[in-house]
Amino acid sequence: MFRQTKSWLGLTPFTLFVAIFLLWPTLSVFRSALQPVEGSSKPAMLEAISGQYLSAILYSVRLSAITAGLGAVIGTLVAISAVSLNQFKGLRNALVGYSAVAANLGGIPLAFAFVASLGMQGLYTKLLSVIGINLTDLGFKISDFSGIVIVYLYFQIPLMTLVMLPAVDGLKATLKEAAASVGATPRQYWRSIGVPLLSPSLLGGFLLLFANAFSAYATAFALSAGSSKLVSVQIRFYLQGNTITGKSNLGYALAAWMIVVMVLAMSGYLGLRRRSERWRR
Amino acid sequence: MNNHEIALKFSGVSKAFGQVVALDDFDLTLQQGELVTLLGPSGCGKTTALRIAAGFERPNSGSVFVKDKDVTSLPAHTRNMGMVFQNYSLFPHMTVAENVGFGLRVRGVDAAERDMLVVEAVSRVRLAGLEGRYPHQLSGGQQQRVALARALVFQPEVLLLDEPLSALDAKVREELRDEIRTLQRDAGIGAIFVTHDQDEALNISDRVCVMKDGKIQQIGSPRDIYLRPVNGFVARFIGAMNVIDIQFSPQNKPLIAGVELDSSITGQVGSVAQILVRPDAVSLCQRGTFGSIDGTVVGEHFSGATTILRIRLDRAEVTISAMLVSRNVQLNVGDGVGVVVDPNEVLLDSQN
Amino acid sequence: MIRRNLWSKLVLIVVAAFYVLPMIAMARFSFQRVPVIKLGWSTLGKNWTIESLVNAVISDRFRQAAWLSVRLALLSVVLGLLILIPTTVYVHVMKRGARSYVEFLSMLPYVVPPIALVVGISGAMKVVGTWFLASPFSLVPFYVVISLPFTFRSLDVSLGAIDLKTLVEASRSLGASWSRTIRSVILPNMKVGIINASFLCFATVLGEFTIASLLLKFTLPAYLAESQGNNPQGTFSVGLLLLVVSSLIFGLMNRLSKRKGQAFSGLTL
Repeated sequence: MFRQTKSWLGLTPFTLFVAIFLLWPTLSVFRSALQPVEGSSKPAMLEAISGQYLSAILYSVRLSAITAGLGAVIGTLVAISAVSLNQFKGLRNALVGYSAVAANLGGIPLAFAFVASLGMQGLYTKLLSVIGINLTDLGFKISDFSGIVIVYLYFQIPLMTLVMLPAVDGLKATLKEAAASVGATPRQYWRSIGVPLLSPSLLGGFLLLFANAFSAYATAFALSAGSSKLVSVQIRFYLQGNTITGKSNLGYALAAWMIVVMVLAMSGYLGLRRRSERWRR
Repeated sequence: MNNHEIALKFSGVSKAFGQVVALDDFDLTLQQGELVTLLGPSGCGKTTALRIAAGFERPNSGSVFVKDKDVTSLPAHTRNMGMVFQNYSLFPHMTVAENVGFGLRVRGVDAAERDMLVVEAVSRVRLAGLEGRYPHQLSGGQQQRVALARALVFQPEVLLLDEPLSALDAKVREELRDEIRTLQRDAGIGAIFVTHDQDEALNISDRVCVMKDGKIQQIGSPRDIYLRPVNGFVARFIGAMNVIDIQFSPQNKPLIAGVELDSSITGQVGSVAQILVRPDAVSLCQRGTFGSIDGTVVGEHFSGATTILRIRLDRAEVTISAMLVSRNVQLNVGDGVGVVVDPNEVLLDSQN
Repeated sequence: MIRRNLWSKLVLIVVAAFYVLPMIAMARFSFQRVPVIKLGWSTLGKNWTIESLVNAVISDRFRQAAWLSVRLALLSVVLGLLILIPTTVYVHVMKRGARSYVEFLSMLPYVVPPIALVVGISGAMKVVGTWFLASPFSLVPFYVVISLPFTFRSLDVSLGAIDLKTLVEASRSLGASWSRTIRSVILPNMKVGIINASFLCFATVLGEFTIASLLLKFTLPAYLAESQGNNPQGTFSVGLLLLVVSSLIFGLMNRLSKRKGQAFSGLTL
C-alpha cells in the first residue's frame, strides 16, 4: 500500500510534538548539566555529586527508598489479604477501585489532608495526645522526613497493591496444592515457590514506587512550605534563587541526575514486569 | 482379599459444600497396581473424591485409608501421594529437573542421589535432554510429562490424576494416555484417574467407577460397564446408545414398530416404555426377513473402520443407528433394509 | 485458614482506616468552626458550616485560578486528542510495527519528572526567547506531554481489543469512503478510549502543580499554595473539593477501563 519510508510519514506530527516539548527540554537539561558551574572546571553533573549537593540527592534517595520499601511491604500484604478474602465479592472491586484513585492522589490537597490529621493542630495529633501519645515530644513533625514518609505512603501503598494483585493471583491455588502433593510443608512452599514467584513483582514494584516517590514534588513542597531538603524542591531553589548567581547549572545537574535515576528505576521495573508476566501465562 | 494389597480405600465418605452435596456415602477400594477411573459429568463428585484422597478437602464424614492407615485428618503434604493436575501446575520458575527434583528435595534426599533419580525419571517420560528447560519453553504434552515425572519420582503410595489429558490436543492425548498407563503399571502403584471422557475411561482403566450427583452408579471393568450397564444413566453416559419407544405386547414383550422382541424384558400389556440398545447390537438383513423390522437407510456416517447407518423404521416414528464394519456395508441412502435388534443386548431404560 | 482470614481482615481494616481517616480530618477542618484544641464531646456537633467553602469559591482569586485551570485542562484534552487519535489510528491501521515506537515515546514522560521537565523547558525556551512562556496557555503542550503515558494507553487499549485493520478493509471493500470509514467505523470503536483519555488528561491538568508553579502560572493548585497561609479553612475546603473531583474521575475511569489489574497510574505527583 505504501512504500516503507513513506509509511513512517504519518507519525511525523507525533514525533515532532514529542521532540519539541519533551526531548528538546530533556536534552537541554543535559546540555546545561554538562557545562561547568561558575568558578569550577568540573561539569555541573560531577559537581552535583560532591559535598553538600550530593546530600540533596541522597536525602531524596533515602526518602524514596524508605517509602518504597514500606509501601511495597504493606501494599503486598494488602494484595495477599484481598486475594485470600476472595470469597467476599465486591471487596476486591472496592479495593482496586479505591487503590486506583488513591495511587493517583497526591500533590497539595493530599498534603492538606495530612496537615489536618497529623499537623500541629491536627485532629489525630490531638486524639493521640488525649491517650497520652505526644507526637511533638516524639520528634514527629509532618514536614519532616518521617512526616513525608507517612504522607507518601498514602499513594505508595495503593500503587503497590495494584502492582501485586495480578502477581498474587498468579500464585494459583493449584501451585500450592502441587507443592503439597509432592510433600512440601507450607513453609517449604513459601520459601521455594511463593516467595521466588512473587519476588520479581515485589522488586519491580519497589522500583516503581521508588521512581514514583523520587519524582514527586508538590506534596513535599506543600508540607514543608518550600523548604524541604528533597532534591526536587532544591532544584527550584537553584533555578529561581537568583541569590547564588551562576549556580543555575547545578539545578540542571540535579535534574539530570533525577532523570538518570528515573531511567534506571523504570527500566528495572519494566524488565522485571516482563519476567513475571512470562511466568504468569 | 489380602489387606496389604489395598492401596487406597474410601469408606463412607461424604462431603457437602453448603447446600450442595458433592459426595454421598462414597465407598471405593483401590488395589495395589490397579487403575480406577472416576467417570461422570461435571459436578458428579469425582474431583471432590480425588481432592479428599489428596488431602485438599476434609470429608464431612467417613474415612480415607492408605494401605490400612487412616489418613483422613492428615495434611496433604504428609500423605505421600503423587498428583497430576489438569493445568499441569508446574512451578514456572524452576527447570524441568528442578520441578521433578522438588519432591525429593523436600524429603531431604541428597543432591547426588537426587540428580540420578531425576535423570532417570525424566528419561522415563521421554524428555531426556530437556532437563534444563523452563515450563514455558515446553509444549502442553511435554509439560504434563514433567508433571507425571514429578509425581512419580518419589515413589508415592498412590498416583492421583485429575483430568490430566483434557487440556491437550487429541493426538497428544492418546499418546500420553497410553504412556500414563505404562508408567503406572511399571511402577506397580495404584492410581485414581478422574475424567469426564468415557473413551479415555474405557481405554485406560482396570475398573471404571461411574458417578452421578455424588453417588456411585456402577463400578466394574470397562467391558462390564459398556456391555452390562446397570441403569439408563450409565448406559447413556458410556458409548452411543439407541433410545427406542416401545409398547408391551399381550405376551408382555416389547413391540418395536409392531415387531415383537423376544427379550427378557417384560411389562404390562399396552404400557409404553423406552429401551436402550447399542448400535453394535443392531444388525441389518434383507428387507422382509422373518423377525426383522422394515426400515429405510436415511443417513450414513463413515468413520474409518466402522460406519454408522441411520435407519428410519417404516411403521413408527423411530430412527435407529446400526454400527457396521465399513468393509461389509453395501447400502446407500434410500435403500430398504430389515433391522434386527439383538434381544439379549436390550436394556429397559430406568432413567424416567 | 480461619486464623489467616482474621489476619487478612485486620490488614485491610487498618489500611482502610489509613485511607479514610485523613479525609475525615480534612473535612472536619474545612467545615467545622471549632479549633482542634477546643474539640471535645461537647463541641463535636457544633458549628458545622460550609461557609468557608462558599466564601473561598466566590473569591476573585479562586475564580481566576479555577477558570484558568479549566481552560488549560480543556485545551490540553483537545490538543492531546488531536495529536493522539490520528497517530493511534495510523499505528493500528497502517503500520503495526510502529506501535512500539509510539508506545516507547509515550512512556518517556515517566522518566522525566515534571520538575526536571520544567527545568528543561526554561532552559530550552531561553534559546527561542521567553515570549513563548509569557502566556499561561504555553503550559498546554507540556500538559499534553505529561499525560501522554495514560492518554495513549487508553486509546491504544480501546483499539487493541478489535482488529481495526480488518474492520477498515471490510468497510473499504463495502464501498465506504475514507472519511465515511473514519466517522462510522473507527471513531465509534474508540469512544470509550477517547472518553477515558479525556478525563485522565483533564484530571492530571487540574492537579498539576510543579510546572505551573515554577513557570509562575496561577492555576488551582497554585491558588491552594498561595492562600493556604491567610485562609487555611477555605483553602483546605477547596483542596477537599479537588480531591473529591479527581477521585470521582479516577474512580469512574477505573470502572470504565475494567481490565484486571491494569489500572492506570499517574506518576505526575
